[in-house]
Amino acid sequence: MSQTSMHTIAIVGSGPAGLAAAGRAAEAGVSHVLLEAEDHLSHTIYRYQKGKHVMAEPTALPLRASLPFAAGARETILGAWNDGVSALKVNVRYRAAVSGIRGTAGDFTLTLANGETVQAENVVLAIGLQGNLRKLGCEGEDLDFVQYQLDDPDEYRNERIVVVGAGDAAIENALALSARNRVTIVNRRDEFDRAKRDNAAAINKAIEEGRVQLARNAGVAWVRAVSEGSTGVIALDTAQGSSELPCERVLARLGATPPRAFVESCGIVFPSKEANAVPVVSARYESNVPGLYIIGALAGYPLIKQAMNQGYEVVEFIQGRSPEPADTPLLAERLKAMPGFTTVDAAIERIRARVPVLSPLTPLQLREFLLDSAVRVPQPGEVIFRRNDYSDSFYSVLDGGVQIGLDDQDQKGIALGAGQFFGEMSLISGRRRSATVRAGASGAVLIETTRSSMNKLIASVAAVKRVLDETFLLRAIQARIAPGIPAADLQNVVASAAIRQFKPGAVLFNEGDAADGLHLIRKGSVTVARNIGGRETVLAYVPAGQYVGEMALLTELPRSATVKAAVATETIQLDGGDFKALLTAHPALRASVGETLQQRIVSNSGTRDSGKATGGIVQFLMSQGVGEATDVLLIDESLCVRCDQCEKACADTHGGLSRLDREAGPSYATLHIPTSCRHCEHPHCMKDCPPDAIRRSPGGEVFISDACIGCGNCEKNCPYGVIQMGVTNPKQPSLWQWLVLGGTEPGLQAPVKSKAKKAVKCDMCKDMKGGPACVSACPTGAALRVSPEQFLRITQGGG
Amino acid sequence: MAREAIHTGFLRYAGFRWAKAALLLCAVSIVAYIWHAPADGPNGGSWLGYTLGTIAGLLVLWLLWLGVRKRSYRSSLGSVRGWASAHVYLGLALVVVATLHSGFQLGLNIHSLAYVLVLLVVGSGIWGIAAYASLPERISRLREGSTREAWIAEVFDLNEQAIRLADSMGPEVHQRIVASAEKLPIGGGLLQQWLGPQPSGEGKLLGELLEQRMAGLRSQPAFDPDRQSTVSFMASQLQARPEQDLTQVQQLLDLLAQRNALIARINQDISLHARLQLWLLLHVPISLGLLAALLAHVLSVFFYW
Amino acid sequence: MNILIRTRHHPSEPASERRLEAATLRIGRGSEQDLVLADLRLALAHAEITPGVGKQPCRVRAAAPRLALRVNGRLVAEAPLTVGDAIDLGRHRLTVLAKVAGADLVLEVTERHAASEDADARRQNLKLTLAEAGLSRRPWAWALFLAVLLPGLLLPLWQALSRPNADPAGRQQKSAPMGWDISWSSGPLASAHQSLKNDCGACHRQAFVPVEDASCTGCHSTLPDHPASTKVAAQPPFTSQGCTDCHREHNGAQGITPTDDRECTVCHADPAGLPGEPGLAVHDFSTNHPAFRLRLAQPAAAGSAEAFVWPAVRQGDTPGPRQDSGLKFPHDKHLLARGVDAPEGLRVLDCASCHTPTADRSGFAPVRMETHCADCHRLDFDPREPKRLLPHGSPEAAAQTLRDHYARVALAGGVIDAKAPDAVRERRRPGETLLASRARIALDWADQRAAETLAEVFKRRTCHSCHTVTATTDGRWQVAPVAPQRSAFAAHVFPHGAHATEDCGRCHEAGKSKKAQDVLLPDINTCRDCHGDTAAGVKTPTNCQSCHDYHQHPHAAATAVRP
Repeated sequence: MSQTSMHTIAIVGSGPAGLAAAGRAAEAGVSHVLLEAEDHLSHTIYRYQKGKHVMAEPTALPLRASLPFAAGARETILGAWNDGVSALKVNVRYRAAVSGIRGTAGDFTLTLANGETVQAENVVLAIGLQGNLRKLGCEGEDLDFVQYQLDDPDEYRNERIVVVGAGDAAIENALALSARNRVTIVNRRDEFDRAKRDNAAAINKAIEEGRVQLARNAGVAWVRAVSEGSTGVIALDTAQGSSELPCERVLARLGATPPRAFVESCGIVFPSKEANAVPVVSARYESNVPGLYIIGALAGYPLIKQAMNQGYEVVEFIQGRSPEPADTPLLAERLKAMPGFTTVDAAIERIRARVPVLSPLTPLQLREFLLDSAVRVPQPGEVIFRRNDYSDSFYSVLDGGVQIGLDDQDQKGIALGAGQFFGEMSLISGRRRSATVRAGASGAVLIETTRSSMNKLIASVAAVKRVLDETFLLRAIQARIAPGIPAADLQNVVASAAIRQFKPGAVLFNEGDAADGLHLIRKGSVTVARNIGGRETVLAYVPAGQYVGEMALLTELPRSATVKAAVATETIQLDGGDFKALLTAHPALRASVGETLQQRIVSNSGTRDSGKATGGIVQFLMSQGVGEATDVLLIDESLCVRCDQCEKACADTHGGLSRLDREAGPSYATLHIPTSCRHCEHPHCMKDCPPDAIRRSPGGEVFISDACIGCGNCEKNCPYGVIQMGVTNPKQPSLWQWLVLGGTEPGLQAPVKSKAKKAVKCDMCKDMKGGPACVSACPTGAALRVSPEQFLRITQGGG
Repeated sequence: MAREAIHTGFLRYAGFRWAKAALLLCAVSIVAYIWHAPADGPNGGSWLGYTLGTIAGLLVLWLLWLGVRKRSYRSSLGSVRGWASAHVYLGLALVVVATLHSGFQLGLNIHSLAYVLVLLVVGSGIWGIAAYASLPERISRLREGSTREAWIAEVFDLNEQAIRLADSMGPEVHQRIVASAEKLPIGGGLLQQWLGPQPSGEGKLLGELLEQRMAGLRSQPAFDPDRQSTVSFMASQLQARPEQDLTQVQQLLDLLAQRNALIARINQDISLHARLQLWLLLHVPISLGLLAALLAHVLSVFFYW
Repeated sequence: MNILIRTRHHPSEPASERRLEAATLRIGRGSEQDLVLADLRLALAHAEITPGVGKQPCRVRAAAPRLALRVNGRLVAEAPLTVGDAIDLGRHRLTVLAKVAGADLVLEVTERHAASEDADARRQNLKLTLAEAGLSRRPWAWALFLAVLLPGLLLPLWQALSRPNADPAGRQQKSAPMGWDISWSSGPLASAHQSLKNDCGACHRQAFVPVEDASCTGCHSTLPDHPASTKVAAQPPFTSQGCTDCHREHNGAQGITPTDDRECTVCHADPAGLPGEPGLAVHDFSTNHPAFRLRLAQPAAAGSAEAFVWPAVRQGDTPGPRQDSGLKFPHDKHLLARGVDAPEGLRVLDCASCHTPTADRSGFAPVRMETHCADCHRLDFDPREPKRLLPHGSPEAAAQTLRDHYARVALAGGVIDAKAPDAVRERRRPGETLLASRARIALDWADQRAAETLAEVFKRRTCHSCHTVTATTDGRWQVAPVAPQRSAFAAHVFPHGAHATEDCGRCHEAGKSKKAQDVLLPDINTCRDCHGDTAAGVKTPTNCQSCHDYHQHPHAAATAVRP
């Protein structure tokens, strides 16, 4: 096959999406080429550990592709695909990493890393999000004893292994290998400063102890296979000149090139700077560059089945056919609740037309959006959610209207009509519902959308984000500070308001600063501290939805306390000036605001007094990130008799896997925070869950549903290390058998050995009557689950 | 401290609810006992005797049931804390009820055995309460936020370092250090765990050093030198070796001292933990003995009615 | 020697082989050694293996004194090597394999555990928790459980069930051997039952069945049931009453007889419910006990078979208890401090003069005329012959004695009496026989004289002073009958012996009693002066059993006196 010949379709990346596309093309006899950077198909799955169980979510979605796919072991799936590819005679080019795409529809030129080029009329970009692993970029980088991943360190014994790289991956691998091998680590630089502190410390220790050899300031010149003495030799250029090391293995961990840069280099635009933003594509998966199609994870479809369907469809589109998307039956299922539902397309159009916030979406985005949504048709006056519910879905009003009650009695409130939306408060603040919402007198038709797909939307459609932010702002002010003020009057206040982000520990304002305005906490939480007796003492913790610095709105006094972000925090800063103007315009409002603030001052004064005693604890808790928790497990070590009942209870009630580690975790005085889920306001684990399996139940518990595909993202993302990959064991040991005869004690059964691991975490025993087992099983009352608010009440003397 | 507003221990559970209940039970039993005065003296055979006996018997069974309840983690039948609280107070009340049931008629028979076992079980229980009340805080203070595993790792680490250091100081030193690293006096059987750490090396060091000075290098029994004598051996090396090595020896000595201090600490931790459980080694088996005695008692009384 | 070294890093892995030629195989950490083992725990030169000479096997020895060298787990300084021996050096193990061609020694080198695992392995060896020290509670619990259950329940049960349930007649003779079920005894037996103490089955006949009366009556066969009258016994509460309701064993010294009045008062406090003749309510002795019910002699109604009846009369009732034994006896006249006239002069009498305790000291022997009265109350009738006495007890005999006496006197003659006929006054000559006519006169006088004397004895003197005598129409005399002495308490014999220390007068006011009809028995309050309830404790404790014997209940006695 010559490089100059023109293909109809060039498919970049042989992941599920690319494979499916190529498979379909081959099946349909379209001239095509499948470009794969590696020497094997779908590298991402290839890299899964041996025998890893790959799931097929969403189960409801039908698969439409020329290649088979069903949940099963990695090997099975890859085998099936390899067979399919050869059966369909797919034209694959391995080791063909695409470095650039130029040209326009009908005439694209793809440049490969090795300089060759490929011509194609259409390009299907299916490179996923993993990016390409950086290679040594020198002679011998593809020798078979040169590898770029390490699955199981214990596979290798008594080898001389050269590890290239100074990142965490390199260090962790080097340390693991050094147990049974002679390991040399090659660092281009002088220090391991790119690595986590622990890793750097560990590797330096190992080097100092001689368990690992170090080549500093060294680059790899070449790698050659040899026949004598060792498998190969690696040549290093060091400051002292070049040196050659004989070795059995070279492991290069140089990280991967993120795809975004490459994608943008092809002229494709991303809607926002957000990390998880995805490029805009048409209903036909066509990007803003005509003829350049994007499918799969890169287009925001991380699940294998979705991607494969798209692979199939995109070829059809390119061929000028327009198949009904595979998700149509699912959508029909979702939407048929809509009054007057005829066809999916009609329904989607209607939604676009009626709901402004959704109109900027492309049909494709809207389809995706609606897949994660449900249509609700509540009766007139029916409660949609209540104040303090811990639901975080987002509602758009399609027909009819709803009534948002602001105060406890839901007397006065805001009426919303068709086209408007609600639920954004909890969505953004990650906290309980701030108001009760009822369907209006005429009933309503609502579209309920999950938090995750809403966040995806916000990230990828700037317009949506803007609208939501403004609405949030307006309603927050109306609800919290200036109740019953018509939106119109608040316009310029809102306009002047700015959304500000703060890193953990960042200062909102300092004690004694000039008061410039009020901060309405939108997300995260802050601590209020004052300088008492020369040292800063934390007096209070203010969660999202509350506000600080209110005095600035009424007086000119300087700040009376220092306010810091306890966790990553977003606040809405209201300019004092504009607000004062508003107040002067509305004397009634002035009175009410004055009263509101008065009450706060009174309630705070309690804090101030007890501050001294408890400040230390608050400080400690905040430093442990309890600020973003909604429910944290606290152990009073003066009561804890170390019986580990909590762990056993957890394991026994959760298939033998304990979700908490009592001993691990920090302590202050006798207060101990064991390693256990805190059910964060904005759970880090939710950030990147392909099947969106991590949910928050109405009770506020963050749990992982069965949809989990075991990708392990949440485990990586959780900063508190409370998520583990494991297999739950349905059968529990019999208590009586253990009591009488011994054997395995309930709660201490050995974990199941299986590759089909899923993520497990604390679900606060939401399905159990007795509440969290760890707490109800504690014989001494040392274990306790509290929300920070409660906790702070407590630290302030149980008030 | 204000924090205790949330963590209420099992003793003060629900405002001493069960303590009050237990007191009431005792009061009622005593009053009934005094008022009753049956024809042939107070004994288990009178109607009050049977009543108290039934109460005590059921109480024993229920108290034993705690072992099951606290492990049936799915049960929502009250919190285990509540059970523990009730267990403690009603267990104490059992002494009164059982005593009144016996009518102070004791002899060499199965019935009195059951009674004595009750006293033993409750006694061991009281020991347990004392342990639970005092030890946990001491553990926290000792731990200072660190964990035992970390300490042990540290000890192994110090050993490695010591060996590496000793390696350059000739085979004898090396072999001595290795030998001492082989046997770590950490934990052990019941007694070692219970009685905890031996007196730390620091004090003994000087004494032995002087001893060494006088006796010269006393040859140790091969291959099982305890760490003390290793330290003193190194100390003696301090004089034996030429100047340039002194720093090394000093370093090694420091390592060993550090290690020994850590070992002492670990043992202390082990001891504290052991003592948190020791009482159960009496409490539980005797309880089972009591169960047997109770069965025999009840059955025999009605078998020979 | 030629050594084949087979290195195997993991049991699962294939071994790598290497041959080497060396006089002695030097093993250690140092790079100059023949067999280099990278383990810091080893000395640079740690051990050597010397070739065997002739039949001698190879030997391994530590390269320097006091180097840790373990062969088959034992610390040695030197040891011979035979196939299968394992030399442990640090975390490595050298195993001697069977020789192969061209090799004097075949060694397999294996890593017991990798360097990283080394620490873990060491950590695993430490015993840090009681559980790791093998101190589980379960074995102890089982041990104790069985240690109690076996001797305390199973063995006794087995014995009790396997024992033949024989009738215990004669059981108490030879005491049975001690059985396991002795541990079931709830207390020592009463002294009377000691012989049964090892033989639970003697009384506890059936499992789970309370001891039945048969167990007692087996031995106590003659014991009268309560109450004697079957009519009453057939009704509640007696039907439901068993021996064990009152007699509770295993109370040791306290004994088996009920000491607590409530045993009785539980029913008798309210006798209305009781069968039989309605009794009086008894709550206790000291405050609420009925007055004594006495049975005193009364002359029977004329024409009745018995001369006397003993009706039960309660003290304090009206008319109060009276007795009429048919005698005249003023206690006061006999108990005068100055004494009473006696043949020898004045004699001072006391109670004991007439009332002599019976042998068992429980009561007193009946007072007899001959022994107690006759000294003073002489039955003489002829002043001239004071020695002559009348017989006591039969008027006819007395009359006959008089007639004989006077006939003799008349026929003897020589009676100094103006009014007497000559035939009686004139002296007789020896051998002189009286003419029939004159003898008639003398005998007539004798008859008349006897009659006069008889009348006087019965009507005015001797008999009359104690008895009531009436003359019958046919001129004979009749002495009213005297009731036999009998205890006034039917239910109980008063233990006079136990009260011997007391002065009789304290209870019996004999000194003031003028007539024999007086009832000298004290009432209950006299008893209460000294006796109180067991509970009270201030006075001599007295319970029902002190006076009443359950098994001879008033009912029983009542029925006993009836013919």
